[in-house]
Amino acid sequence: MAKTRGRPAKKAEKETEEKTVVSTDQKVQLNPDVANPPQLFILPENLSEEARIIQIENSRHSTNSPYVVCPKRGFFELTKVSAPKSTPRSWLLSGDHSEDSKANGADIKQTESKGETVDQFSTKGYVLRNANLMVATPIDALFLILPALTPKSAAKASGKKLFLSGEDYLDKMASASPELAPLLRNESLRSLIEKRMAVVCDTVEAGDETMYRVNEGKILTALLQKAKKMTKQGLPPSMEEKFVRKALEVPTLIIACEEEEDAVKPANSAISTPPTETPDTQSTITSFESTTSSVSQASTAATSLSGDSSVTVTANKKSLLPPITAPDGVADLLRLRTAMSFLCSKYMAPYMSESIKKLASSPETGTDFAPLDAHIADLAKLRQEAIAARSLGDASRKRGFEDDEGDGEGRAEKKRKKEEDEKRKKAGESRGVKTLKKVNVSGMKKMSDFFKKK
Amino acid sequence: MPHISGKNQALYALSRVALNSKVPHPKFFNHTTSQPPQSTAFPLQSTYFLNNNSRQKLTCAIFSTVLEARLEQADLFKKVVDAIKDLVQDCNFDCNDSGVALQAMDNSHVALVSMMLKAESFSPYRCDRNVALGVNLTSLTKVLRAAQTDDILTLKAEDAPDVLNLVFESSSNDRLSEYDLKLMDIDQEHLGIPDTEYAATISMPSSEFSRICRDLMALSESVAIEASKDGVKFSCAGDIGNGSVTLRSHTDNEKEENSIAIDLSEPVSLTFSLKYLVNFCKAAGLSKTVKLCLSSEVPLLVEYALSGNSYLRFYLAPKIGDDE
Repeated sequence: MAKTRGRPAKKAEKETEEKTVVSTDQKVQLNPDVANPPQLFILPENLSEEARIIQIENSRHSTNSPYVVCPKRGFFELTKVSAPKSTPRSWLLSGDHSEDSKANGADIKQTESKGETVDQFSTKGYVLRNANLMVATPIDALFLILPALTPKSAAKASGKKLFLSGEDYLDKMASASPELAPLLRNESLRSLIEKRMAVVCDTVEAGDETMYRVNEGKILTALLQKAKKMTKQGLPPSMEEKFVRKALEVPTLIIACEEEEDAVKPANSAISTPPTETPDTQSTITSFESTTSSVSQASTAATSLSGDSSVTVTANKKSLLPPITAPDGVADLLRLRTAMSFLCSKYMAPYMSESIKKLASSPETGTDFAPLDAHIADLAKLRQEAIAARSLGDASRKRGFEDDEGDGEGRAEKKRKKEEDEKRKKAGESRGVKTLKKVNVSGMKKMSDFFKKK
Repeated sequence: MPHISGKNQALYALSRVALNSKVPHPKFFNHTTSQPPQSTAFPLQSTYFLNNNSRQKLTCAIFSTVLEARLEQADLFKKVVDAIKDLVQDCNFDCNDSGVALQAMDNSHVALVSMMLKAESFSPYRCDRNVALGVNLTSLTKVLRAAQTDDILTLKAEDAPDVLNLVFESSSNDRLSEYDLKLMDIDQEHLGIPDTEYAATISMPSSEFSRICRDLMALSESVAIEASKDGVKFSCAGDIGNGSVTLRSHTDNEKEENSIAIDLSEPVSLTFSLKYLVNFCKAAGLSKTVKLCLSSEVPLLVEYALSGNSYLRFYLAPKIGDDE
């Protein structure tokens, strides 16, 4: 299409001048941006006096992340729930004049020292520019001690690992996360960590001290146990949809000749339109690597892993959605594997999750994923055939398929651009031109057939 | 004072209307003032001529224009653009020293419009270098809508232009409006149209042709035009029935434009899309008469002759094969 060849409008300069004037006006009315704005937390009830929010080495990324540590109640990880960038939101914290405002559970932590007090927030109200929410959820201390138990250097060295005392491991942990050190002096916290350590370690009694050595098989067992617990309550709906339903979806085109068609087709439509219960306004800082699908799509995967509400939602949905068409047990196996890979990708260092996965796939671990693997291989084959069939067919089906593949966002962007382009083109099109487009020109030769090009 | 001191200012204000300004716009001396301007009131670059009638004339050395075309009646250009805009979306106005030409095809490439506004139609016309003005006709229509029918229209463009400058001067009162229309780069293939000896040439009142097309359009999508020594027959057949209009040549001595002349070297019969013909008829306001030229196996030529040897021609491919 033809392009406009205008030169930059000289007018623009003038306009920007005006704009700056306006913006300074606004600055007079509004307070300037706070450099370090307050944050909104949802913290557990009944934390002890010594509870702190501190930076601890993250077991996944070996960088520091904030955790809530309470000597009595253990560790809580902080998950940031934020509004998606496409729909910016803010918090309006209204002034609550009632007496029990503190008992509501939502405490406003003030990180800024400008002479303002918490009381000021609660009486005057406050607008938080970013609608972020930090939610504290319990985390197994096991995951926090894991980096200390399985240092990267040890993983590389193939030799037998040494037994070390719990003290040594705790020291290691404290050196990695210095903020934790004072809290580790607390006896109840130490015993809690050591108890969890014992779950994944071989232990040897040496005098009055217990020595620990990490055992990968035990880590796997512990993880499997956690994963099983996760699947028992049902995976969160978004996870279930993305990694279980999608993965087990049978391509429709191929199935057309089989009887199951009716069962599968509605399943497709249900998946392509996300149900309203899905908490789509939330996104978490988790990035979920999975063997089955892309990373960024699991944006809501980490929300409310054990919340009662999510369980009920899943239950409701199960009654609405048609059953997954797969051999018995395969869906459960896939759920288990999904939960496992979620745990690995969220809480385990990459090199650890590698070896754990390797261990999990070997047959002697107790859980046999073979039927699942076979079924998935079958599906992959079917899908490939479906692609081949579709690429021969019309283009619209092909587009639909690519959308399914998760390239949706980029495609939507492209589509929007195309539509805009077309809109612009249409705007420059007169009514006459539009009506002529509909004219049947069959039997009419092109002008270039009569007149030669110059 | 409202003078044009350089091209920057002209680009700056996309539309500038000067109303009864105390110090008149330099261009107003063309037709509004009789007293000579004070020499200090004008930018140094501008030059003036005094011709024998002591009319001041301004050549626009002010802009580094390579094209300046002044039309006494903006109406002509308005109607031409109106007639073309329903057929093509974007096209190039090719300006050279002989005039302003345009050739474009519709989206389906089955129809072609060829316009020529000869230099004689303008007063004055100056084109120092060939320029192609790529214009979106819908946008141009929007600008031309601001012109009164009897306004004086001046088209101006620089060398390798970004914009087409249009100035409308009201002849009665001192109103001057000026618009810059952004131009586009349009790749268009130019077809060479040979002079053809047509088997049949029919000239008739343009209103008559419009009426026939409109009437038959109610019945069918296509019309068969049959020229024989008895006359010319427009016939069509559709779902609800069929119909035909036959014209015989006759000469109206009182009103020459009402005459129908059929010049026939051999009988022809061709079928055309009525929708396109109706579209061509939008040019009926430009000329009292229209000329249809037919030969078998070649496109129909519908020509509206304009004053000063200028013309607006439409070509339409005949429908061959499936006669509906």
